[in-house]
Amino acid sequence: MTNSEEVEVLAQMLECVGIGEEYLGTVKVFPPQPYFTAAIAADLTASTNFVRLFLGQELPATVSKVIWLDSDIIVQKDITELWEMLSVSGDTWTVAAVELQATWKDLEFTLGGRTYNNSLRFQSAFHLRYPSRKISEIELSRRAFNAGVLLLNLDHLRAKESYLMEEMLWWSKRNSEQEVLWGGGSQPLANLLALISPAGDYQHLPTTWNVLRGDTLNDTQEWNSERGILHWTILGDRSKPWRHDLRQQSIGLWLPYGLPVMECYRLLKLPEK
Amino acid sequence: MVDSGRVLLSLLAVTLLCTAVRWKDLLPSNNGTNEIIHIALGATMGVIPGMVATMRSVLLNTHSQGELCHILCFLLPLPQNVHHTHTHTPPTPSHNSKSRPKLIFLRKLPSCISSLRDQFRRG
Repeated sequence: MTNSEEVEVLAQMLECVGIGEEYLGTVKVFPPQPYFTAAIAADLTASTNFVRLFLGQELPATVSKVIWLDSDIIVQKDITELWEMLSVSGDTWTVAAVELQATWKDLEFTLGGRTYNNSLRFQSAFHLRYPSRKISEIELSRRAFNAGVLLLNLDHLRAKESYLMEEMLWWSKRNSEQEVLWGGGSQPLANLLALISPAGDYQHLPTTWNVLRGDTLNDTQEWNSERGILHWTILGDRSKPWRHDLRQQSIGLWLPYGLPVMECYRLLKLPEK
Repeated sequence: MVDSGRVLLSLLAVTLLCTAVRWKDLLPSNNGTNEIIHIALGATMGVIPGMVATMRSVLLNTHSQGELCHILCFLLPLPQNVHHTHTHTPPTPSHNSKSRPKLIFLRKLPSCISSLRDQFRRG
């Protein structure tokens, strides 16, 4: 039993853009996991969104560190620079990411506080899950991070029988099955993961490694070819670069990487809508 | 006799040079740590074009020669309540999306990078 349709499409597209079968190392098939269901991905309907939180379980134990990249980004600098910023040996970080630039995107907002007017719901769930801890330990006015580019310390995620991943599963289920705490897919969970990790916070990466389209009013200054990573975060039907309005300036930096892909897309006669 | 000695020395020098180049190829370039960079991406069917473009951008801009880099692609089927049409490959027959497994591709990149760069230069 495989998801052969997706695999075949990806293989054909990779072959078409010059990454042939000879570069294919290994294909592994995994049994389904609880977070792999659409139920947990209730608000974004795509379970891939949550894979990033469980990479400690999914990847071999020999892999201690991983960079997660969303698929609506392009990397404009040598990824080695980002990779070498943090080492897993002797370090205390669990999650490293870029802080959101908009001042109102704090933890309270990210954890559903203002959007759903339910800070009390989160606080009550927090007390339920961690009776010995105080909610005041979490400074909700701190700036949250965008989870589209993550550097993850997998050794930490696997420590103590992977308790952090168990926590993610608990909060995922709480949000999807008990009460709506927040929206935004895996972003609130990733922020929560950093908060409950031994470090108690995330390691801040330089902003160049995740410049968001739509995060600030200064997009035009920040959105250029000198940045490490550009990220199309605006939600909407035509907001993602492969569905973008070609008249807009922002698409120009995606086209050198994406245009050959879209030519292959048409060549393979994949769905137009 | 002197000439043949020079020829011999030249040949020896060339051999040593070639050996050094081969050793250089084999030696890790990542600050001597031989660390493999692991990058994970994930996509459902509709997002595959974005994922491939992201992958190309990583490959085309990673200039560390000899760097070992694995890209891990998580491919997941669409949730059951999302419908899509696909005209190229016939849909997989009636698998429950909750029971369908995901796949990982591991890829080694160095030669891939140069191949892609050539393609990129050709436009």
